Amino acid sequence: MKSVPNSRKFSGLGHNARLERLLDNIEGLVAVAQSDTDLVNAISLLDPLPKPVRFKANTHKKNILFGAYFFLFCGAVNILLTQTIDFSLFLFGTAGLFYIGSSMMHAEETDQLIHLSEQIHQRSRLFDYGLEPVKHSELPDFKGFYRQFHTFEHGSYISKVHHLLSGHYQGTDHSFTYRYFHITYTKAGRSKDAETHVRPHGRCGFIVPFSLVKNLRISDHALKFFKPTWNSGSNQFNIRFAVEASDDLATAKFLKPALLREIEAAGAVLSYIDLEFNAAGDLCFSFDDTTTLNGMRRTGLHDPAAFKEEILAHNNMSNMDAALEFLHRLMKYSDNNFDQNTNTQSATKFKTGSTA
Amino acid sequence: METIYLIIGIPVVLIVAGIMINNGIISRRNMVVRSWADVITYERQKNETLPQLEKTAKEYKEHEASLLADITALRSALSKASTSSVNTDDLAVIEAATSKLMSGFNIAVEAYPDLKMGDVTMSLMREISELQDNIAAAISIFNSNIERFNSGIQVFPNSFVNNLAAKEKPYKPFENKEAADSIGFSLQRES
Repeated sequence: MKSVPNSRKFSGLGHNARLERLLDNIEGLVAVAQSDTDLVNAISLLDPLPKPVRFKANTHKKNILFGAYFFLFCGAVNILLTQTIDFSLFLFGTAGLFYIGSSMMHAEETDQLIHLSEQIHQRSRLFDYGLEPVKHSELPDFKGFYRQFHTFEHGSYISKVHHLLSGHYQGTDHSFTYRYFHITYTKAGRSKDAETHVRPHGRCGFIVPFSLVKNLRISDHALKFFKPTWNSGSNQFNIRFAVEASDDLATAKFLKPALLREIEAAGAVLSYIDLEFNAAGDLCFSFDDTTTLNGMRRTGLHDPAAFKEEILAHNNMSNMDAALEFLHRLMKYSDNNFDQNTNTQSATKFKTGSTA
Repeated sequence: METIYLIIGIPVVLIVAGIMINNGIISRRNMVVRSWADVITYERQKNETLPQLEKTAKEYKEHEASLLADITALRSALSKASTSSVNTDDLAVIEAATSKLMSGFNIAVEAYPDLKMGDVTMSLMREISELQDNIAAAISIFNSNIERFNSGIQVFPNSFVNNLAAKEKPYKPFENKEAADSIGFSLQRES
């Protein structure tokens, strides 16, 4: 954790320059923060500033705004004197451009505050859920690791790994360690004029130890067109999902009605869901989404006191909760209630490094 | 020549369409029967928990007789249900018997809080709770398949083909207030 800079260092600066430097310092502190307390300490740098915290209209912005009013005034005078509108239109247009320029300067400064507020809030959400970045030493070859799942075969290659986090979920019946990923993969395709183009797709998912079933894949039909499929007893499920199974009997036992309904319900709210249970006993549950880590931010850096309170409280990620509860219900409906081992098996697997 | 093509072509198209519609009706009927079989299969899985329930019932002394009577009633209802012929009245009897047994069991468990926390009792209740979740889901799938089948024989031109060939009757979805209330039976936990 960096030390909090002395506010005297900024005494010779104007308000905007001071605020800008403070925001830079906060950004640096947020990047190395280890807890909500560190984030709150970073926000405290804004305490000496007048509230609400915002950029003041600077001289350049004032001049530009003055220019807008000047051209507007000239345009109006021209109409009154010449009774024609041609030259006035030019003057009004110029006034409009000046006004837009002034607004853009203001928006850019406001965006900086909003962007940093969101960054702090997201860090806080990750702390609240105990989500930590997976260290390179734990998983040196993520791209190779993910390729053990067929889930991403429809994508050509991963162009960016936005998040690769590790967390632990404690449910009523099961607890498990999971890895969350959010990636962009690039898919090649052909346009109408037969030219090849690449298109990026955002996708996120969870990798969870799941030893209760193996070699089974349940995916949206859109991902598995014209592939042989195992049919369940639900028309609705069969229309939406394709099931690839190595053992029909094990699949029939695993896909109980309650599970079918759970998967149908998940499919109704998530796009292109894919559940792949591999031979190593891991489940990769993925879907097209970029909002899993989103949360509702009520305040921001403009009101540091309220923002500090919000950061210290528990901040929910409703989509993350829904996905984790879904995984928990999959385990709950698949386990054997009279076998005590099944409840602890899933909680320990990542720790032993048996996923790769 | 074109007239001949039309005279031959139109009936061929109509016959092919009729065969496809008829096959669709039959396949949807088979899905109804399959989902019904799933419901009864899950209902019959209650048989696996009944011996353990009988054993547990003996520990709830003054409730023992009524619990054993409820278990016998449920076992009898389960034996009457068939997986091949769809009869929702049988299902209603099973669900009502389950509901009666579970409410009696809950009363007995509340009367003996020490026994309630036993590992076997907790596992048993968890198993029954999940079994009920699965039965509720199976019934919901069954009803959804019935809705699809019924629509498939009632809309035109399917209704016309059904009257000519398959002659299927609409199925009645399962509606039972008492059973519906019992679905979603949740495990009562000590705080």
